[in-house]
Amino acid sequence: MARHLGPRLVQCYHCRHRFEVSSRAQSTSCPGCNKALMVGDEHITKLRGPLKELRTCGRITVSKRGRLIAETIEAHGGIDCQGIIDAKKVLSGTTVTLGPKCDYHGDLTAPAVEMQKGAKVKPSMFAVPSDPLGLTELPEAGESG
Amino acid sequence: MAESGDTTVVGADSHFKGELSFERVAKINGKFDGKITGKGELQVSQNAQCKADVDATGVQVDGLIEGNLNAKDTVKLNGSGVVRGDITAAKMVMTEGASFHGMCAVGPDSGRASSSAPSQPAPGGGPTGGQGQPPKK
Ligand SMILES: [Zn+2]
Repeated sequence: MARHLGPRLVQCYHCRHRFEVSSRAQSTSCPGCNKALMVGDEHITKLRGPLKELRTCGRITVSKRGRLIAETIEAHGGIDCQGIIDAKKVLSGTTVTLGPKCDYHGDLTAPAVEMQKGAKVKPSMFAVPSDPLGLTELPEAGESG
Repeated sequence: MAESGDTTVVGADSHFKGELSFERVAKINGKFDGKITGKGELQVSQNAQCKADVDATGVQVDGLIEGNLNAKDTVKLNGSGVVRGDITAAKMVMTEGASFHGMCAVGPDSGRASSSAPSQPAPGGGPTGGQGQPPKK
């Protein structure tokens, strides 16, 4: 997916402070709370976990052979799962895609879900749509005058 | 309630209360309160409001369902569809834009278990939600 190269607006998942980062940044520290922050995309192509949490302001993709096990998963840029996600709580800022071979487990809060035929879901609470990150008013970076 | 061919239709200007069972296809265009059981596919049209627990082979949702859905085959939750209740199905397709608050269990085992899944009629036709009460904001 093509991304514009200018700065992008992110929101800290610790204190919800919003600020701009370079499009290439993978991590930074939040000017609001000084805590370390992952802002890059995470590509899971093999087993990752069990983790206590995986949080990023970017996007999480789990490939067909990927397996992500974590108590909490938070991705402000959305989640694309073609493999396995096993979590207690999953929070996404944009659409979550569950592919035809995916095996999903975790209470999900997201503004939209695209579930393709063949996806398996172990009993999980879905809250869709919602605005879990309060991002609905998030403007495109560089658009503000 | 009307029948056209093999399809049982609750018309757009109708409000049906009670229990509906069908063999092939049932289409809700208006309001329905109660319980729906069928061997075929239930279609809930865009402006339809259905407060019912549903047990069918397939369910296609373009309107509103408040209640639990059990499908032995596929639940299709289209972009305008809203489900407040639990979904248990062998397969499920959900389109971006659809709204769903409740427990979700999808897979061949879930589909098989659907006929024995707990499903109590909603008192007063309200959303049962089961354990699937959406988190309060
Ligand atoms: Zn912060």
